[in-house]
Amino acid sequence: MKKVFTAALVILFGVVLLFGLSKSIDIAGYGDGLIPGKAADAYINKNVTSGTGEIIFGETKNAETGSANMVTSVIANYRSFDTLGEVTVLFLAAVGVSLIMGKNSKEGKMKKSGFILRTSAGIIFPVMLITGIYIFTHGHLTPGGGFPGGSMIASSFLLLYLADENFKLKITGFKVAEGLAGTLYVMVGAVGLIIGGYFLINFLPTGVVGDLFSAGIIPVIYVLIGLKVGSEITGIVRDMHKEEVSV
Amino acid sequence: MINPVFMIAIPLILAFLSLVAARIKKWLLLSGVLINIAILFFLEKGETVIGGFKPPFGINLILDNYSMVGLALAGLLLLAGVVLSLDKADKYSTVLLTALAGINGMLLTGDLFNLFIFMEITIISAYILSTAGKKPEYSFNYLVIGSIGSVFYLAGLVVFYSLTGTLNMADLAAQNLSMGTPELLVPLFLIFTAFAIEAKLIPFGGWVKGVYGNSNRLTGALFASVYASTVLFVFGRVFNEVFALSGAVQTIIVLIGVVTFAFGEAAAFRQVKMRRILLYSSIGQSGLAAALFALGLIFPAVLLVISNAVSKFIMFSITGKLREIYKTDDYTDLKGVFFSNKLTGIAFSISAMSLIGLPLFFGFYAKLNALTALFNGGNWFIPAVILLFAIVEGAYFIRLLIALWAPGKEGEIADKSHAVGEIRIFNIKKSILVFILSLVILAAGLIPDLAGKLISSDSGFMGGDGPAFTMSQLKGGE
Repeated sequence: MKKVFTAALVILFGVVLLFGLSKSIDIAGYGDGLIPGKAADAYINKNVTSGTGEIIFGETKNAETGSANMVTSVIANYRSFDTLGEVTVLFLAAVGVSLIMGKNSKEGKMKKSGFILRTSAGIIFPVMLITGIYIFTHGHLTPGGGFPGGSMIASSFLLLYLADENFKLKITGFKVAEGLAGTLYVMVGAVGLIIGGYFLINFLPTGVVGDLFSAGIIPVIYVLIGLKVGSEITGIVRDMHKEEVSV
Repeated sequence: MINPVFMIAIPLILAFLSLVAARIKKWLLLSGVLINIAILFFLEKGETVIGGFKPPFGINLILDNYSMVGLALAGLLLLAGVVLSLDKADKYSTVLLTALAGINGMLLTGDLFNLFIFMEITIISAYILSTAGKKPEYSFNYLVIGSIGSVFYLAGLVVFYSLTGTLNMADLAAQNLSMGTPELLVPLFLIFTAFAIEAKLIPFGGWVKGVYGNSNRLTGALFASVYASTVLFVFGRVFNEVFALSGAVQTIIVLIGVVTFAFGEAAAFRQVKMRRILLYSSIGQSGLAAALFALGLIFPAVLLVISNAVSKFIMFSITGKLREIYKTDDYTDLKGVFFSNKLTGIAFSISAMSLIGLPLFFGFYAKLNALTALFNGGNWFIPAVILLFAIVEGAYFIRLLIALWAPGKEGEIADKSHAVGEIRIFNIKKSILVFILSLVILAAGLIPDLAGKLISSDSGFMGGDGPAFTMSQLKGGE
């Protein structure tokens, strides 16, 4: 009876969802969406506080946010407060994993890995690490940023775990990096409040759009996010690795 | 005056630091909740813009009397919970500090996407706390249901953004979208579902039985008071000031709330386990508060939320402790347990009688306000339901109180030898803390006008002069 009732409820819900959305809401099709009139319009033209006219890559100076990557300008500047929250979400998830899974003090043994994996890991590891660092330091210029860069750093440590069955990670350094990077992110916001009067305001000069040293605090924030995400996900990898072996 | 953003920034910094300095994390947690209360009285009222970009492009925080009441309630109860159960809270210091930031953010934010982020933080912290019950299947159940709710919220928000081009609450409210129209039915329903899951409304609250039913002294008290009241406060904000409900949508939401109330009270009547009784009573009260919020009766709804939060905090704390001592929360096995714990027993009884709505207690004032407001609105159906189920509520709480106070069978003289045990429930300091909390309910019930004025009047609460209860005054953007 309960299952029939649940099934009926789910079907009813699906029907309402499908018909309601298809019938009455004119959501634009893929590629037909209109930006003007939405908040995103001002993000793209970088004219939230003052109109600057056309933005030209490599020429425009001191534009609002100054980030060549428009997505980054939203994530790390216009809505940086949301990103601080997202970083906290990941932080909390990592804390949760270590509370639930990180109890076992001894690390178990994995199956011995193959010769090719073991040999190549030593070569690939530094390349992955450097690529990860490159991605988060260039987040304001190219696709990518702190989250993908940090994930790549963590995946390089995952490779070490897979390649060497005796690999052990000293986690203390990672915990310190994680905690300090998060603290510094909030501190950057507080410094903005003191200098510019607003929390997380972009208080550094934004430079020429497209330069490595441009976009004010955006690269600073992305480096912090990259370090934080990298150390957090490495911690998750470590906790889950212990759990898998011991059970 | 202090910038309200520090209500979020300080707990976050302390949470991040507690990872580095794991040895003193207990003290970081304590200082975090204390600082939170200390700066509450000096916050700058009104609108705070973050990042220097004017809304609706940037994010803003809104501190009016409404969010102030929510912040004070959540902050004080969290402080009381941490002090009362510091031994249990120690392990979860980082989680609780992050949860404090999330709860403050939920109550303060003026942006719907920012609300989503803070709701995520708060709910994930609840998932982690629910693992303290040592029943992974219920935590997992909560995780799945809660995550689906978050996805629904996000999906509904996407539709609203594509229709209006803004995520700012005040800006969205200024567009005066008519919520009765079929175009907005689906996105509104999606957002409502997300709140209904957290507010335990039927049929979305399936997770509650497992999570509340296996809670301990710390988590039960926090879930039923801090988390529940925060979600209801945000529910009231979103469905009154951002989306003004009307027509069939309003009727459906009110009906869901009233049905939840009736179901919760009826189900509580059939339970013998104390945590079960309390959790179904929580479901019922939450349904009633949601119905009042949906009808636009904000003041009685806020009173009800406050009364319920304080009472449930006391009762869940005591129940959790009883379960630790006697390894059961079946009240038929706990006869006369208050016989040698008079102070704790009185605190529990005051809370229960306030929940029933007996005169002299704060719950009476809350219920009376709700009934008067409903009658003034020409509504007779909901008052009838409230009064009918007040009898049910009275029956099961009085039955519970009699069992807990009176050792022995009917007709026997009550003395210590019949009682289940003489173990002290709380030590003297903690007993006094719980007792003082219950005195707050009594005092607020005896001088209701003072309590009402503190909460309602626009210049009253904590001497602020910011906007009272309204966001439409703060127009966002051009």
